[in-house]
Amino acid sequence: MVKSDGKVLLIVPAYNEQESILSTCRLIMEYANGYDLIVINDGSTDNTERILDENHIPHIELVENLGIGGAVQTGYRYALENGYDVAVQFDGDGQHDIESVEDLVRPVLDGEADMVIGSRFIKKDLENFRSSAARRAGIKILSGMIKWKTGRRIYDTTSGFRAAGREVIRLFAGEYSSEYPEPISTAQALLNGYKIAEIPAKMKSRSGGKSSISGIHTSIYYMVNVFLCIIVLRRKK
Amino acid sequence: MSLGLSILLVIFSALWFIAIIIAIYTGKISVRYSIVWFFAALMLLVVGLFPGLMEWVAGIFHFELVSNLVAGVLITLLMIITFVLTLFVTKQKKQINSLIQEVSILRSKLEKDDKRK
Repeated sequence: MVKSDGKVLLIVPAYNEQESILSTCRLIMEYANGYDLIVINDGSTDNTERILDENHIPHIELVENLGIGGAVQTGYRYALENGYDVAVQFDGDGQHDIESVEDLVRPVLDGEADMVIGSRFIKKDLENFRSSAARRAGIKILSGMIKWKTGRRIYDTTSGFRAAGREVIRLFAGEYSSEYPEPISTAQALLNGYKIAEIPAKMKSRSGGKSSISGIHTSIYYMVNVFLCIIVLRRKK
Repeated sequence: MSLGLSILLVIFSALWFIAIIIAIYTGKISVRYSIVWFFAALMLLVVGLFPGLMEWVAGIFHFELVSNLVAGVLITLLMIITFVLTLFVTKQKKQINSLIQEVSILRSKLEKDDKRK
């Protein structure tokens, strides 16, 4: 059971996650009951909304589908408006490990970092996460781009398992890429001088749904899109 | 430039002016966004009325045919308009995103408050 000395919000974006959303939320409520939970239902067309309603899971129904970036940003806006100290992005498809959440939140609460990324690539023994060689290569290229742009090395650039402190919540509530937001928002936070820590976190294969990036066309589009976004990023001041 | 093309341009630009004015009157286009189209129609009219002007410009830039210059100018103009429209679309998408988020947050808050009562 998790105890917390600050207000912590778990943001769970969900799009057509009827198979996994209930088990994910039950896991969160069981294990992390010191934290608040908000599911952002991104205009799902399956039974996700009914499941959330029937089980009295706190959620925001987006009136239109916004995509992952828009959904997660809604969570950051909610966190900002309700004065949360830490907001953790936690996927609704069961990929993220609830036992690692406290490790992500702790450095932010202790003031050691403004943002913490749950990383698959820090310790060798955690590389049990199965992903294709192409995907790993892509993540490495992104890592290089972020290093070139910000001077800082982030290993797991596409991890969606992240904890953000007050200042970063404010940054993301104001500006958050609507497509493929993880590497872009990471670079954005670094560029604005926020301290980002990476800690090892386990990730499982998804229990339902499928990745948004598969196939050669979307992969190329993804890399070009993210590359351009990172190139044009500027400090917000 | 042939006389036929000149006449065609004048007629076309006149019709275009009428179409823009009707669109403004019926509220289908705002004055702000109509200005660029007025400008485009005006350019066509000038080209149609003063073919000598275009022949002179075509000579300066070594266009072999005046009609090529006319087509080139039109394509450039269309590209600029399309680009400006993309800027508007991007801005509006951001605004709509923000609205959807705010409405959704407010709605969930209202529903929660209703349940409490």
